[in-house]
Amino acid sequence: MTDITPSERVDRNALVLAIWMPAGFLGALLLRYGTLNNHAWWTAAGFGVIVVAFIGHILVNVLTRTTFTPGETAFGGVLLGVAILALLLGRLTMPERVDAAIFMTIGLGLTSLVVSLVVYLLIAFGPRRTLEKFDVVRDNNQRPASHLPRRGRRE
Amino acid sequence: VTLLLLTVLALIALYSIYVASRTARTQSVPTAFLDAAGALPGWVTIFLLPGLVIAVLGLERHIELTSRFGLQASHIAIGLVPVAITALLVWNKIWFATRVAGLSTPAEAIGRYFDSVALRIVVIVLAILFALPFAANLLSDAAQLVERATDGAIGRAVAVWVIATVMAVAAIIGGWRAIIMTVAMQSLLILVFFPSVAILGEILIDESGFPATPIAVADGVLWDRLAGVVQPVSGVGKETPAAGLFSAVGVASSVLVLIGAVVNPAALYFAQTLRPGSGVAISTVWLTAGFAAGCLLLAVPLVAVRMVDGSIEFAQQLYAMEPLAGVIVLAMVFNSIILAFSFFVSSGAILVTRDVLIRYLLPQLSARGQRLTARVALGFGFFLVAFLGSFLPLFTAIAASVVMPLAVQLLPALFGLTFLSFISRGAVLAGLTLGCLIVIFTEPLGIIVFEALFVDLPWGRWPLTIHSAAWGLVFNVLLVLLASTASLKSAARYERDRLHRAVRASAGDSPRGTVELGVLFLIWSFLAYGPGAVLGNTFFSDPIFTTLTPILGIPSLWVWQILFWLIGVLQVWLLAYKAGFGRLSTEQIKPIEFGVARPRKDSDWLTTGIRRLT
Repeated sequence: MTDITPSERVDRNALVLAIWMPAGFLGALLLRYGTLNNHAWWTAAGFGVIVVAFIGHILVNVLTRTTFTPGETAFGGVLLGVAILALLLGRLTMPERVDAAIFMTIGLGLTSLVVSLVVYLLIAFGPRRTLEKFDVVRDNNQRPASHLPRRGRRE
Repeated sequence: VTLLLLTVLALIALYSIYVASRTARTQSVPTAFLDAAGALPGWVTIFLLPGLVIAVLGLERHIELTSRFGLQASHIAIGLVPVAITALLVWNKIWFATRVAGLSTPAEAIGRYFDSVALRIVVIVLAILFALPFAANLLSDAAQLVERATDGAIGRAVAVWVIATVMAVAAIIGGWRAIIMTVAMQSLLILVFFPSVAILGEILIDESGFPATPIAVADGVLWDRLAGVVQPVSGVGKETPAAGLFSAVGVASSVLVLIGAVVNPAALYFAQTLRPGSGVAISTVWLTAGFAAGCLLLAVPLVAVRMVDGSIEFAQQLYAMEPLAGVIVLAMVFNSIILAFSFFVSSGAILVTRDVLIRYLLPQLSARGQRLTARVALGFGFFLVAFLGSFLPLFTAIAASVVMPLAVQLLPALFGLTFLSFISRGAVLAGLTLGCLIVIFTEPLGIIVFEALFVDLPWGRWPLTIHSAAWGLVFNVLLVLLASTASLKSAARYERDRLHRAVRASAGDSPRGTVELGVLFLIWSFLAYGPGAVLGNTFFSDPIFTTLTPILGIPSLWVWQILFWLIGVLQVWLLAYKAGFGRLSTEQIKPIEFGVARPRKDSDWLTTGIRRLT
């Protein structure tokens, strides 16, 4: 998060939560109904609501000149990871419940979330800085020489 | 429903306490607890108004009235356009007046502008009426909803105290800023949930809905048209209007009550504490006149057909198909009540703290002392409301009925403060007294007491199906105009003019096209919800300009409502963006010392001009 006052940070966090409260509830409703009743369009609508809320969150970031907080990143990452894992495990262990149609719909929905995230990162940081965010090996080099420009200027 | 509903309610409570605790930690000065340092966040400005107006309208009540009277009742929703226009006009001017003359609360603004302690007291009493009987009635309704939704597992009295305690804790911790952020979140929740409920109902329930199925109303009630221009009945309780409660004039008078949502002391205080920016424009144009009005006009008839037996039954019907859908219905209705409850109690307690406790009783308090006083007042306020809500529900219901119409009687005073400097103190006081008396005697509060003590009155509630607010306001305005003409050249006028000039100068460019917009608004009002609205009854189904009969498939009045809603949004847009009322800016503000009467002196330009010639 960039330099904003504590008061502005509270405003921003309250707004983010205010966006996710109704969107999360509505998304959960649509996803639940779509998955349990095998209605692909409902599931797609559920992911649509989540993507819209995600876009809303990004807009808040832009307007308040901030980025995702570490807590938000961790929470989102864990949720996405758990969802992907649950989908794969469900398909492997309960193929009769998680049939091809449900697998495809939820899989595409999760992919759309990942794509949204990637598009956001590319627009916000550009390709180079986006890759650097995931370049753990480069960041592991603690030697002072690694900060020299000709050695890649690691931050 | 119980567990899921309680989870949603717990989430809302957690949000309010989280925001309150974070706000408390970041407050730079203790007095920011009372006024958010005059810088409420922009997003709050954007989202709060539509939810507040829907809450004041009473979402469940509005749907119930529509299911009883059809489109004539849902026609009131077009009133969100004049509400948005009033908010733009009044909030803009009072915001600038606050910055220019240091008028920090509505009571101070009106009291100092008219140099009247009586008017200051009137505004404080109104704030208390909103904070106590009005809010207690809302709390009682919310608790009743919880009791019915949980099949009595949570009793009404328990629900009253739990809700009041949770809201009180959040308010006591975080103050004005935290309260308003929670209310704005609840407003956003309603704005998302309400159209969702309408869509879910249409998709999940098999039976065909509106407009294929007409709204089932009692015999004789015209569900698809307004009940004439005016109905010659002596009033509700004495005589039943056969064609329905909502004639064109009846709708217009109900629209006036909606305007009370933005001219009551709490809403004015909210406007005074806004941050500069264009949030008011976005809120009024796109969310209030646009989205909220559209949702109400389009979706309420759909929901009304399905919600004939009430929100609980409708929720249970949806719950059988998808549990979360049922919970959404209840969460929406609950939020629409709690939003207004929390807003009015908190603002009432804060206004009493500032205007009575700090100003008169404890003027030497330090900043920390002021914050502590406000916290005690908030706790006491919530306790009183919970007490009234749990033990005196009938009294609060009767008293609550007059509160909003009484707030509307402030309109002449507010237009004096914001636009019409010729309106004088005496005129406002006389008009207000007459208007309030008429309101009380055209509502159950006055009628019941008078008839119990003396003789039966020849009229009932809302004679001629015209709302008490309109009866009061008509005579109020007439008296104000008449009395003001007698004091056009008083010395106090000079000081009032000085404030108006300073406010105009601070607002920057003078508004453009306001006269044209005013004329357009009058024509639009006449056709949209005035006597001309009866043309919409058959305008599209049986047009007068051709002998052909079009097969529309939907009621003509519904088309009329949608058409005038769209034109209304255009008007609000013009007023906000083109005339410039949607912009709040501190760039050109030049504070003045206001409130000290100065002797009137001859203008020196005449003397200077003559001296130059000679």
